[in-house]
Amino acid sequence: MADGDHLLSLRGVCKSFGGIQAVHSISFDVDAGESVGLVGPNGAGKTTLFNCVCGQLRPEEGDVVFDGTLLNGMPTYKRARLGIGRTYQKVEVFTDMSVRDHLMVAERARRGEGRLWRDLCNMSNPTADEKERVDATLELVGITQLADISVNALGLGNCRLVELARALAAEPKILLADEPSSGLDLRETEELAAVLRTVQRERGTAVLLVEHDLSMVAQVVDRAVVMDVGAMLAAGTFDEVMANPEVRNAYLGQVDAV
Amino acid sequence: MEQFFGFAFTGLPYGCTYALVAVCLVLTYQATGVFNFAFGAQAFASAFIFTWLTQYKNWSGFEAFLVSVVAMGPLVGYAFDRLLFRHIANSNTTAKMVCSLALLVGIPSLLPVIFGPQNLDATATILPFFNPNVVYFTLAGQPINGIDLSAVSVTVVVLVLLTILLRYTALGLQMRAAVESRRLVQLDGVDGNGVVAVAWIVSSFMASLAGVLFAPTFGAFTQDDYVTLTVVAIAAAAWALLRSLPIAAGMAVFIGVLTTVLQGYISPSSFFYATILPSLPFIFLVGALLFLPKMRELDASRDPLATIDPPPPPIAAASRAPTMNRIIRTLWWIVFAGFCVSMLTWIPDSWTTVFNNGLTYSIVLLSITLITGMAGQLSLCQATLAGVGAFTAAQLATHLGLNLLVGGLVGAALAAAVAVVLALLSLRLKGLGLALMTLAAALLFDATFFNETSITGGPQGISVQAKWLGTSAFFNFNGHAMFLLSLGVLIVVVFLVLLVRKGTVGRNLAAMRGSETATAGLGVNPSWQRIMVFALSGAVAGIGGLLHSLEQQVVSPTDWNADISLVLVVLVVTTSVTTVEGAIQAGIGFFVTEQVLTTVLPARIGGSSLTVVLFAFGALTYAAHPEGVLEYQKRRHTMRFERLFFAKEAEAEERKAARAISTSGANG
Amino acid sequence: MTVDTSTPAGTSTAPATDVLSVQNVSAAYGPYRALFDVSFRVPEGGVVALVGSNGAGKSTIARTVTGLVTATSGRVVFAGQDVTQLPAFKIARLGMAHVVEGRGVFSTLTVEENLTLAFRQRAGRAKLKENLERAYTAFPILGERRRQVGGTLSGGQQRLLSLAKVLVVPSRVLVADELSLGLAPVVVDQVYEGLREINGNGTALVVVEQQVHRVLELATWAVVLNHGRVAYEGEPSGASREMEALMSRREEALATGAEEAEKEAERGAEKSGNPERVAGHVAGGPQTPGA
Repeated sequence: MADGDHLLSLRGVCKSFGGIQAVHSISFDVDAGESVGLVGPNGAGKTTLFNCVCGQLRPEEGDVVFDGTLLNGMPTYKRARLGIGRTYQKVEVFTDMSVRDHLMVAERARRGEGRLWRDLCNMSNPTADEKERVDATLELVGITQLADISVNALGLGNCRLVELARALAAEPKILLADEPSSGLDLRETEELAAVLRTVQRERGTAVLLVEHDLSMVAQVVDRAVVMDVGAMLAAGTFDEVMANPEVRNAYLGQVDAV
Repeated sequence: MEQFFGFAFTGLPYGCTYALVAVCLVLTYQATGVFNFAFGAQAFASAFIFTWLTQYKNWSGFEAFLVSVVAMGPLVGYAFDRLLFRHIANSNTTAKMVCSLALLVGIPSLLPVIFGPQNLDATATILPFFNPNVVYFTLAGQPINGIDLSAVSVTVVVLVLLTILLRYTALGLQMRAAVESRRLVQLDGVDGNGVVAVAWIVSSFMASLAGVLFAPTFGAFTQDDYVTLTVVAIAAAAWALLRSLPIAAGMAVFIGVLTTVLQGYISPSSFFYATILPSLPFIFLVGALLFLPKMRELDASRDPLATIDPPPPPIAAASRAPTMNRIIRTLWWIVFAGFCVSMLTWIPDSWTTVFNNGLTYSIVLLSITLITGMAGQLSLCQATLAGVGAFTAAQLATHLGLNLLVGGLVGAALAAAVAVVLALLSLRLKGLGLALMTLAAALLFDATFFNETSITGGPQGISVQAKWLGTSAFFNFNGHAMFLLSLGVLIVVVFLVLLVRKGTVGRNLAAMRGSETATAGLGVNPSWQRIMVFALSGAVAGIGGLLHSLEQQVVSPTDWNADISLVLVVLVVTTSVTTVEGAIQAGIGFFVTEQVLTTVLPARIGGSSLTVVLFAFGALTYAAHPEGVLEYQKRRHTMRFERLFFAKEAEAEERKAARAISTSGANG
Repeated sequence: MTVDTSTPAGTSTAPATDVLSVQNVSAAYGPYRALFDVSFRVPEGGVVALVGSNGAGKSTIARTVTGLVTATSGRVVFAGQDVTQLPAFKIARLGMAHVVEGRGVFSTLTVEENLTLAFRQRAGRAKLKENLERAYTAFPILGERRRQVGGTLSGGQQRLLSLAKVLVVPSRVLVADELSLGLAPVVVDQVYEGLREINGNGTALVVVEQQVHRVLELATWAVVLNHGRVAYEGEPSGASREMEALMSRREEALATGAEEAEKEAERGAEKSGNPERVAGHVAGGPQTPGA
């Protein structure tokens, strides 16, 4: 196995719900620092695949290998500590919590901290080091001015940025972004795409992007993998994939891409 | 074989009783979305009024039936819907559970307030065609009388009718749809609210009917009979995943029959007979929670149109003006110092006891702040944990002569261990599942350890003596010394709770309340966080329990049984479950109110019952004010005061926050 | 897709009359105001497109029209009757259909039960069997899964099911909220084909969309919303221009930092509410990606 060459490798991953195969024998790789788009029609199994990588679902067959470690059966939080970060299609922010605290949760979780006795001995105040890292991440995503505001007061666009910043605060090696543009308008989508590009450039984080908005995918990714009804249809550079007649048929219909 | 059937047939009427209630619980859950803990309380209320009318007012059975069942049942159901549950249809499970628990605690306490304490002995029956005193025939050697026959026949009829209603009628389909989303069902032209109101009316009528039907089975009955009845029914309903009426009924009959069969074969003098048999239903409940994976998914909110509702009322804003905050803090210290000085000088002994009771209760209540306020989960066994701490320390002192303070630490450790075991068992449970698990644990303890005379000293309990504290250290241990001791412990516990809240674990727990998936996705192990906070909560409850028992000078099983656990939750939810002040206000407020009411009101009304009723009323507002109705009022008035005197300063702070939001680019 | 070809009840009135008119409507979610003085009309058999950026109040209008949200001021007149204060189920019984944004099916009921619930109320018990058959012919996938509960269907199938509920039995007005959101382009085509077909049979449409181009091809009239207010009303051709103008204005404002000033002005004008905050909270509150 040449897993050392790839950051994330999926080998024949299968998952079904009640007899319906949601993901059927998917294999592809993502290299360090690379950005890959995962596109496909609704119900193609993209989010299911994401959940298999993050550990919320257990695939029935196949292996997920990350950074040389076989992840099968590993709980979500351990995978996160290995360096898998993600955002969610349906925004999952922490109600009543300030943006800075969102990042502090990630900052501490990364190192597996959270021991009660440290709290009881008043030993868990943020250190200068941690504050600095949190501020740097806020700066990178461009939400420094929101730091001390509760997420309850924020709109969807900002919530998506908070999710992104929170995932980055855990310093992942790969970021899985699940339909980050859904529910955003054109302008907000462009801003988000810009942030994703910056992240990839400045931190060297690999990005796996699930997205419907093809113009956004085109802006962000190097390569694309196309799925339909749980199976892989095509893989290659974005333009190659979009030129594939099978893909055009399944995904785009008569409409012109982008 | 004949013997086996003999035992089995004895159990059948009991099984049918349980089945009727189980079926109604499932119906209520399926058609209203509320797990109605108060079902047994409603049944008790109807039986109470029915018996009161026939026994003391010389009404005929039929007239009393008309009033207590035909009129009262539907009316209560309609009132529940219109005044309470309709407004919280889209609240989270915890809010719904708190409301039905408040009813469970409030209704039985309300009855003696209205009618005065009564000794009731139910004899009248409402089924004209079965005479309770006539043996109609014998089956496998067992005489079958009118009570048995009516239990079986009514259950069968109700089961068939309700199954048809829910599965095969248009109304049933509408009910099941309305539970999922009252908004969406309206778009199909169905009056969602009306349908659910009908469901409440049916369910409440069934509760009244069941209550009156089974009162003669109990004879001289109390509300505990109905609580037990409900819990068995809950166990059966859980095995039916709160979904299938026939499975719920079948399981209930099975539990009833199994109990009498085991009773028949096991020697009455054995340990098994005394402890395991009474706890059989709870074991079934725990089994369902542990082994049925679907019980974990009960809480998932399913309304796709939930966003239409106005956002939950903003938690009353804390004061913003710095000067104002300083003034409040200074005032607090002055009041606190004044209180301490007064306690040690001029306050009479009767009131010192009241405040000491309040302070020690506050410590137990702080354990709820940890679990419910910080982890967002409802635990219904905090009194049990307090009892574990108190009994352990008392036993160690009695038998080993161990100092009470050392024993208290051992007791706290044991309570923490029990809590950890519970947390481990309910690792994958949340919301309703966890509440049921902890309730089952509390009832299991009541039926086993707390029922064992060698552990708890029987109903009169064990006396807890101050001399066990070590007489040298506490020269003349009186109310003042007790005050200093409880105040000291309370302060330590308050600081621990505050440290946890602002620390990593507190932050992680707050994050888990928002989204457990996302928290785990960042690398936090949610199970571990929960186990730790359960352990701490258990220890705090254990210490609080011991101190309270020390103040009472006795610890008995009734001080810390499952009923008390429910009352504790209702108390702290009313003031505020999210703040430490909330727990202290609830503890002191409860005993002060009780003392005032008992002094002021005529004995007939019963000050302590009324106090519970008042707090239960407060808890009913939990959905509207999750920060606690008292805390809500407090903040509201502080804000008004601030607007009067510090408007400029507060506005400046507010503007600072607003500016930050509006300068961010991505805001839609 | 085959659809009932009989004319919907009450279309005998002259085609020029308005089946639905929204007059100076304002609406709010609790303390958060979302609509300000919105007016537009839907002629009998017409197609009105409601477009605007995320959080502009499009879904709120859809919900106000169908009674899920009650207007705080103004009037909604439907089929000649003032329905402003009516509960949603009464408006639905007058012939209003609403396909909600996102999942619009009951996840605990089977496909057949979902359809039964809708058809029994809309077309009466007698025609239930016939209508079910028609739905299964139009959407064979639903026929295959008639015993499956709604929650186990894929997102696209759920959307088809909620469409089947309103397409098979025609209504006087159909309000469609973000039908294309999250659907593959090829499915969106099918959906629009269905809309065109029932419109051809006399149902007036109110189509809420974020993907402007597709809906403007279908529409006879367009309303562009911005911050809960009508920014443009008129021919569809003018709407895309207006949208672009709005976009570039926002972009400019962002660049110069003038947006803050604009908002400050708005806040002064509307003492009781801050539309910016409304848009954020309602449409995309932390829990749900919305409108």
